[in-house]
Amino acid sequence: MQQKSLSYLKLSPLEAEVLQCLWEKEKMYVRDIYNCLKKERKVALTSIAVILDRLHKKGLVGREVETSRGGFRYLYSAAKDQKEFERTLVENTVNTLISRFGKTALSYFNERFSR
Amino acid sequence: MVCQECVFGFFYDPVKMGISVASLALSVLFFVLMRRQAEPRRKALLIYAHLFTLIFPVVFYIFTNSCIRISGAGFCNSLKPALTIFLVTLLASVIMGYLLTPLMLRISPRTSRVTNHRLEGFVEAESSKLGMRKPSLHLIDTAKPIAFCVSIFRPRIYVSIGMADLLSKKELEAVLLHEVGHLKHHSSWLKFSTYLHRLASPFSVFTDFNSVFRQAEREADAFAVAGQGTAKHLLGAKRKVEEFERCC
Repeated sequence: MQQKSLSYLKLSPLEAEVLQCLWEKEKMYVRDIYNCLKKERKVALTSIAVILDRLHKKGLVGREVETSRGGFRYLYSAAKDQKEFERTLVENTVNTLISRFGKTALSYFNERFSR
Repeated sequence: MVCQECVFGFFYDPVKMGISVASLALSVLFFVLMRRQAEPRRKALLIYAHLFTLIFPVVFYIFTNSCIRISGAGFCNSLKPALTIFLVTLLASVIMGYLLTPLMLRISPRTSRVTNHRLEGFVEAESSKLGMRKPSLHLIDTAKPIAFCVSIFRPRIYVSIGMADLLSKKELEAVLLHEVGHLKHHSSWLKFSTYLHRLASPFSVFTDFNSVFRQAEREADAFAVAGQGTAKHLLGAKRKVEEFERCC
């Protein structure tokens, strides 16, 4: 259900699921996200690491290095919460439509919102 | 005519030519010995001896030939500036490889030294068992699983955070042992030497460098397996790194 609702974000299904996990908990290690997803689908730890790196490069997740006596690893967190993320997405889409179609887009929005 | 004498005078001088031919003969001898040598450190030394004796006639020519420019004729001896450019390029490669690359790694904001850490203690213990100089352990801030070592000036092992994220404790130790194995066998020195050989020597077409690198990897693997008493962890680490590279 969540996956379907996130499909419009132009993310791959696995990217959307990883992001969903991060929205549910604030900060997670790669292994935590792997444990979160492996209950629902067959997935490898390496795939999660690749997806997280990709989301980090897209600016959708942040990461910090956590070094302890036991090891060193990345602690990942979503760059924006779900609502903020969706708001940014809507804003970007509307801005793109206005800059591309100008008055046509504005008159459509006017018509659409007056309904 | 004056120009021709200036350029080719070197080749008519029996002493200069004798020294140059002797140097080239030595170069061939060092090349043959290098191909037969299996021990990495000696192999690297023979590469340098081969390169030195191969390049010596060029340097000898440049330093004993005084003509550079004859007015109105442009560069009379175009061979000399061409050879000088070749030597400068070669020297720049040596400086880049030997000095700048380790220095850049050291000052890069994406690397940091690991101190007071269990893994640092592990590397220290393993290197002291071999009577080696203790390598320092450094982290690379990237999610890609990378590990390598540098042995110039001071031995260093670099491992990425992505590698630590993917591997279990034992698998990460296997990777570190593999790198200690490389340091023990002077693999990075040999790799750099073969790179120079490829760059500067026409004889490099007769050498299979991939087999040299494969041999270095096999030795480092054997060291890691012997250290842990099992190949399980090293194989597990390799599988995960390959999966990451192939993934998605």
